Amino acid sequence: MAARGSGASTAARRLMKEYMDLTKNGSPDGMFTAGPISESDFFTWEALICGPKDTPFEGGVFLAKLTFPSDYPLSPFKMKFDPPLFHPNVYPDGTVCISILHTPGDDPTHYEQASERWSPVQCVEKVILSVVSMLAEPNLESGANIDCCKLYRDNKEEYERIVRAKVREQLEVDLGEDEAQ
Amino acid sequence: MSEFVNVAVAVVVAVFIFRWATSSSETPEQRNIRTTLGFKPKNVTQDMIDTVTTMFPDMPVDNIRYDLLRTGNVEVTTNKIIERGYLDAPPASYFRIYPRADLQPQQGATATTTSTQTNAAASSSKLQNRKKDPSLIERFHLESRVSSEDVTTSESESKVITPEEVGKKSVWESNPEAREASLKERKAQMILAARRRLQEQSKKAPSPTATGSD
Repeated sequence: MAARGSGASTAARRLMKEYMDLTKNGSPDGMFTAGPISESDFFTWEALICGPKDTPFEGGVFLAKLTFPSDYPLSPFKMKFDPPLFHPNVYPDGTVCISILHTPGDDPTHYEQASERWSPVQCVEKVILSVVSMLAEPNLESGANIDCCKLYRDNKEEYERIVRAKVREQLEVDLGEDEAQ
Repeated sequence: MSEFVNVAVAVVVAVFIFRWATSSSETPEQRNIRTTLGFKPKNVTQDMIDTVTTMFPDMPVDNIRYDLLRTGNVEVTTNKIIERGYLDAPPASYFRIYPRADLQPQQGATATTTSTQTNAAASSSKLQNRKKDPSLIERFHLESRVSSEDVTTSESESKVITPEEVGKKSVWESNPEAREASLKERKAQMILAARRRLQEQSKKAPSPTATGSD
């Protein structure tokens, strides 16, 4: 870690504090757990997120990897669902596309207000909560997975069926009859 | 004076030897590639190409690879696509080194060059990730706990916890090992609790995923 320079120590301290707060206070409504996979590398976290209620994701648990830059919190971290989540705002490789994780400078979709972008006052907790609300309400204007966007718009039932099947597959709960084969 | 000249000559000779030594470190094969492409290619891994391809599935793989050979950096290439909207097609000489055949797209995303039959298969399977991902149980090595739980679950209804309870307050251990262990345990519990809840739900309503019209 010493190789990352002096900026990295600020980042590591900040991450340590966020980790401590999350552990001591828990997450709001216990929606997720997050922390470094191993304390030898404070820049790679893993988060387990519970699917929000009244959505097809309900009941599921989703694993995401958070990768922090050495100049965190100046730059936002990256969040990647592993395995990739089937959702309009998640790229097919699992990377989450959400305005709060973009700096005001880069705007891949041109749909975002500067006010809802990343800034150093944001934190892991706020980002994950934004992601949870994104799960409930996909933003079709800035889609990341075009096929999923189409399906969500044209055949929401099928979209929800795929999501539910995924949830069950991940938790090894027996699938419904039509998924059994 | 002559001594000075000697030193100067020695330095010049040393420089030439150094030049010669560094230039000959390039294998003939590499030199061949360099002269064909017109620049010294950067190291490009399949991973890098895949990263760009998943972001821009419509971009031809050869264009991506050609640009990555120039830049050697996924970010620079990505920015180029975003800013300009396209990448230059590689020159004909490029295909002498990287024949099209060996980079047959493994993803449905690049189906433009594949046959219509795989095209159709790809578009339907793309939606639901054809290969099965390892489940959370496998990933966190909870198989033994799952099976022991399946046996005891009927008797121990009383101590059922929800995944949300696991995500609440916890103790901040003072040493890193204990913290790591505590976090790991909480993650395991969250998965197990979620699994248990889902199982109970499906017991009540046999197969909610199968009912398309409720």
